[in-house]
Amino acid sequence: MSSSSSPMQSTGRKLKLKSKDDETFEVEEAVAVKSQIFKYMVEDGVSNGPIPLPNVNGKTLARVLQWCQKHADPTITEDELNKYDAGFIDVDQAVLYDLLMAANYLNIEELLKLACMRVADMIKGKSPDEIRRTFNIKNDFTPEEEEEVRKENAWALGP
Amino acid sequence: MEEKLLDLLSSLPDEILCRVIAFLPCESALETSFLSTRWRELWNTALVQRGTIEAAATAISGFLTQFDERDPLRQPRKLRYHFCKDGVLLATIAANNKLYVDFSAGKQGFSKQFGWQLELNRQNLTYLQPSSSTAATFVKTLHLKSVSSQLTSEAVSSMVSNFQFLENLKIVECNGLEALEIDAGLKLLSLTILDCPQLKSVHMRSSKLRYFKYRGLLPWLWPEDHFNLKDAMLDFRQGPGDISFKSGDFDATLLTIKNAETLTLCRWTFETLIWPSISCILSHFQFYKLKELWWIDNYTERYNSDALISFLKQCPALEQLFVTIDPSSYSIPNSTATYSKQVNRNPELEHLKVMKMEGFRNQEDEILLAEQLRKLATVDPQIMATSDRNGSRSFVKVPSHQPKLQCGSYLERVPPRSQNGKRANKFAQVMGSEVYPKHAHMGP
Repeated sequence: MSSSSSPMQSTGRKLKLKSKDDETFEVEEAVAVKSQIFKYMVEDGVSNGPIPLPNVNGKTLARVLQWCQKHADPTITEDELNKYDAGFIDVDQAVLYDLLMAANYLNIEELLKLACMRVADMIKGKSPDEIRRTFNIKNDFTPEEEEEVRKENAWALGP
Repeated sequence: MEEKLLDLLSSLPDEILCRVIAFLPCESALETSFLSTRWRELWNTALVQRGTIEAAATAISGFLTQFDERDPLRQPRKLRYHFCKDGVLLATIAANNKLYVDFSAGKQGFSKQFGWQLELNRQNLTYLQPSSSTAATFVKTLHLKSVSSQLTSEAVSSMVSNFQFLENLKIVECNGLEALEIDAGLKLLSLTILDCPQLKSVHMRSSKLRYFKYRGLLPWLWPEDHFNLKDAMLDFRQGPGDISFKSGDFDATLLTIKNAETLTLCRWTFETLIWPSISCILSHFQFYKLKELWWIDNYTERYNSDALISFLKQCPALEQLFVTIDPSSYSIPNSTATYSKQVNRNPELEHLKVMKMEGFRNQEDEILLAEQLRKLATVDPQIMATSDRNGSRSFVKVPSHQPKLQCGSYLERVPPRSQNGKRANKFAQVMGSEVYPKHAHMGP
């Protein structure tokens, strides 16, 4: 991780992170604290040695940290940030899920919201059939069950 | 090489899926329950509680207050409340302020007769629990299903009366419900009562009611404080039951449907309850706003359209007519109703665009009725028919000298020869003909 000068933290301290496939990353505290997990660690003063992250692989962690870097930058405008986010989240499904899981695990609220909204956008306006096709969801209802679901929700979906 | 396509989305933890769903608009959100059993489960998490019947209303209120419409899965949207020995109440919340209360899961037991008095009129409220005030404002649509006598009348009445902003009330399959009295005040717009077999009387005090849908035996109807219905479904095809009406008894109800734009009516109801009252004042009594009529009828040998035609002559604005022959529906044996042949000032149906016939016994009856309609209408309407035997057909007029209808892939049916031999109308079988959506009374 490049350590560009961010004038946020006076200490300029760095955190060391280790992904599950043993890639190490160095990141400014100011950037890392986008994640609530790291925020608490920094506050509690627990930041010796590389922090192991067994649930996140190197590629995803790199991406996440890149996002955090951008969002920790005080000089960037809201417009630029929105543009960046739109491009950042326009990825294929496998990457999207990795990002979702990582954001959830690391408790990065903004990134989680961004990724969830992206998935919601992919669902919006589609029929259940189309949604299943988009995400390869198997329809495991029996015909009786399908009828049940239809019945139990008819009152809610109607006028 | 074929790549195995994985369903990564469904493998995400529940809390992430719930967050995704929170970003979906209401209807799309609930539709995700159709995707697979895993998604359905997300929606079916229920809060389970146990208590007394008397406390059920409070439990529901409490349950309502913790619902967040913008994040519908954060808290369970279902409450399963166990009471007495076998009683189960399932309350489900849906977006757009809807609440569904269903008692059918529990053992119904012996259904005593009972009655409800529902007070939705604000001024008459003697108390309003502060904790339930959010609940009180939230519920705009309430469905009550299979409420048996296990829940006391007072409990139901007080629970429903809590919902002071109720606009739509639907009461379904409540065995044992014998009498219903609703003081609806200014909020209630729509009342639906379906399949309550013991219901004998419905007393409505409401001035704003616009939609009334009823299916079942004819009950004693008493609309106090006149209201003007926009859409009335009077599906009394099961007949009058034990009720014996004197002349004039139906008049108050008749006045509520006089200005309706959409009406579902059974022929026997018209013959017995409406025609006697209006036959003397025909020129002054018109259903002058009626645009859409769903007519339920029955016959044994030849279809007699006198009743229908008499009614149609009172509907100058009619645009769509749907005639359904339901062989199981009640009809008066040996009806002696006489219909005057007097000509109204407005005998023509200037706006009739569509007629659809369903369930007629044979094509000859269909053609006869179609002919009669053609005579009444100013402009030739589109006429269609469906029946079990003959499928869906569109009615096309063909000049008598033309032997065949040149319509490409259309099949042709030649109707039986008429007495005067002038019959020149044919049905053309239309492939994939447009099927009109089923009306509420035609569905389950």
